[in-house]
Amino acid sequence: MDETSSAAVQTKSLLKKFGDVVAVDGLDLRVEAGSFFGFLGPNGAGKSTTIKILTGILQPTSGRASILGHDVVDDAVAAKQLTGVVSEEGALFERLSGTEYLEFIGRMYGMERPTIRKRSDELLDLMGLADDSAKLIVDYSHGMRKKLSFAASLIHNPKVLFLDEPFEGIDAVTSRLIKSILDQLRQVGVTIFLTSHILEIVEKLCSDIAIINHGRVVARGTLDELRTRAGGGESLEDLFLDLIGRGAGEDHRLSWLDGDVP
Amino acid sequence: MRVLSTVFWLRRRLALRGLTSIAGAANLAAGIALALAAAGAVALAGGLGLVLHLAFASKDPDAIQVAWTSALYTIAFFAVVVPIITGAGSSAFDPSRLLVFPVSRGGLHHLALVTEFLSAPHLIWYPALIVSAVIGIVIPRPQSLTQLAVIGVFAISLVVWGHSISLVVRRWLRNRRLRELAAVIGLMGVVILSVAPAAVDITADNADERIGELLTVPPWIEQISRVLPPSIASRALTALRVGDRTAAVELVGWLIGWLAAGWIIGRFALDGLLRSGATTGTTTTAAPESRLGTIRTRLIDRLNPPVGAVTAKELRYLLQSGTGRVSLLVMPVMTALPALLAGRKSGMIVLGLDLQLVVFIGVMIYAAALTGHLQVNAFAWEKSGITTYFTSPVRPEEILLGKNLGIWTLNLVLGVEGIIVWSLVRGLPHVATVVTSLLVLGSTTLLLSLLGNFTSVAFPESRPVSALTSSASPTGTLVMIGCLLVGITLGGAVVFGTALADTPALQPVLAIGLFAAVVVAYRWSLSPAARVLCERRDEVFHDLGTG
Repeated sequence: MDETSSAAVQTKSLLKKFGDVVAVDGLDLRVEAGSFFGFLGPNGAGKSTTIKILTGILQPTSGRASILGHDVVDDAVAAKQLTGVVSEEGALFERLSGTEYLEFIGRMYGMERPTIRKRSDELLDLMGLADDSAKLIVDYSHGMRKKLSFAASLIHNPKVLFLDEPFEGIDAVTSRLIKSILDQLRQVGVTIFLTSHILEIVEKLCSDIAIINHGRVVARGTLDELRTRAGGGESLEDLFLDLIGRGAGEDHRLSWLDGDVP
Repeated sequence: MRVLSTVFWLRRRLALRGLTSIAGAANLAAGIALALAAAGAVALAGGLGLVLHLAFASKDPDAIQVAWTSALYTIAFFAVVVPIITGAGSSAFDPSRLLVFPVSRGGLHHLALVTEFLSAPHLIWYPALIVSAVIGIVIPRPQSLTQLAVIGVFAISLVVWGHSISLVVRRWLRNRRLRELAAVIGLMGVVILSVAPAAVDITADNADERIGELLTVPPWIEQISRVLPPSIASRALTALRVGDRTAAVELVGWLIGWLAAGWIIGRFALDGLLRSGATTGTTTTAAPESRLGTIRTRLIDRLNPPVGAVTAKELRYLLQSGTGRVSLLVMPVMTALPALLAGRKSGMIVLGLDLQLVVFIGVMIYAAALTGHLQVNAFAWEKSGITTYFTSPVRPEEILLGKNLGIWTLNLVLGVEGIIVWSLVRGLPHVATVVTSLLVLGSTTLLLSLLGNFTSVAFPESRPVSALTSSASPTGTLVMIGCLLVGITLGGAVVFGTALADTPALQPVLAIGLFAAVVVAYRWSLSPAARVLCERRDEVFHDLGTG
């Protein structure tokens, strides 16, 4: 543990290259413990890559990152013990049933079977998956997979929760459920690190926001601080577009729409 | 035509892209090596062609027909059966990917068929057919273009039937697991029924005479085979050679009928696949309740929890997979047959060796071979789930060990299956034989794990769990074959060494020594393999399509 221990998530000069492409470009980030952190950016900005590095899926090219003071490379096992992850792709073993998958995840975190059983029953019930718990995941709908992935991320009671586009492709009922659980987690001091393209949700939930573009943080602060910096009164979407740059083709009209060309 | 050329362009582009990585280049080299191995098929066809040539020299119509039948059945085996066994089949082209484009289902079927002609498994037997045709048709006088046309129709019918059968198998295997099991049992049943009469016969007292009977095809098989395309084609070719054009025309009509039937079956099978969503992975079939239940055992519970979790997950996958089930069903058959053929009396000595021991060790190595391709491509079934390993607080060594333990458990079950079946057929082998054989199985399995941990990371290939087999990359396949050869060599060295020294009691001791050496080597290799897994994780995700 070092001086970063009060920070839930900290990166220093974090760099990730894929060949010649720089996905994360010397990222310096500090997320305080217990905060609800929104990590925004356009497609390809480096959000998912950053989360993948922080959760151990990818290795950084250079720089450092830590979770509650544990380096994600040198002290990876300890760092991962404290985190839960809902990845964009779901990352599920499709040939396990819902119950088996939660059991698998619980055991991967070294939990005892009785505890796993008790928590998985509760989680499956809460997520409305109890009736489908014996079904193979391959036959789950997208929303069911998302809920199971979310349940799996909570079973070991993480201190830091990484959510990569958790609201993508799910219905309003599930969305409300997840928001409610996130609220409970925030109340007990869990740090939540969220990426989402749905800016209204970020606006509503996050106490702290960073906007990233081309692998670098271009704005950082609370929503009010960001608004103040941008002149005040704007929605997060306007602020986001001002910082990232509006699309060059926003006012462009497709040439063939006005003519008779088939 | 535009769609067809686009599909060809796509396949060419993807193939070329695959060569731009080190793994791709290595796989190319291994692919060439495998192609050289496939040249064995050409050599075989050449041999058959020579038989054809000699048959023509004799001008005996019966001899010509037998020679043609042998050649064409061999080629049909490579064309239709081998792609299904290796899980290749029509997997080279997934027509469902074109569903989003304005192409009709009939058009998709045509595309799938046409691209099937260029799929790699078929390219292996084309030279064999050409060699046979050159030796059997082009060289003999008078030459006959009509005979070449018959060979052409025969070749097309093989591709069409190979394609259709693989589609039907895919449809069976991917929709309902009960059908999957039934299909596999059915296949096994056919094998057993085919060989049982001869095999049972050979166990009777006068073994020498029975060997002759084993090599004689039972009449009912002969009747059935007469109406299959290779027989029809060979009869048509013979009829043309002896100048009986009427018979030849009738037979070619039958051959075209087979071709049309294959085309229609393929069309229906593809329609069924597309309707069920099986090709897109969006099957509408409700999953059965987890009938396997929890495979948790006291042994798994005693393992370190993460290792136990990975092992339990691996076993669940293995028991759900086509490969795992086929292995469990094939093992008794492939034990019973050699047990029947290995000589009834224990202590039968061949070349100074106990025949039972040699065959029994061979059976155990076969058990290791059954799961070999899973060892050299261990992440084949993971899909996006593989990222879970890296987000969990688990050391990579534990992941590899857990996965290896899953396979070892299956291999142990296969070994025990082998011992039980052997005991039922021939009586319990000597304890020393059982111990030696199990240790050779263990050594070969560990050796496969040792090298497989590296090839799984270096050359990962995604495969569906439901595939009948999970083919590895060419490099992985070569490594697997190498390991099995080493296993056979080491097992042979144990048996031969002790036989030459006339001290059979040393066999278990030597086998234990061999096993201990491989255990040490495996343990030593685990950390480097884990390090490679960490270093190459990006590439592994990419290759498995989860990046």
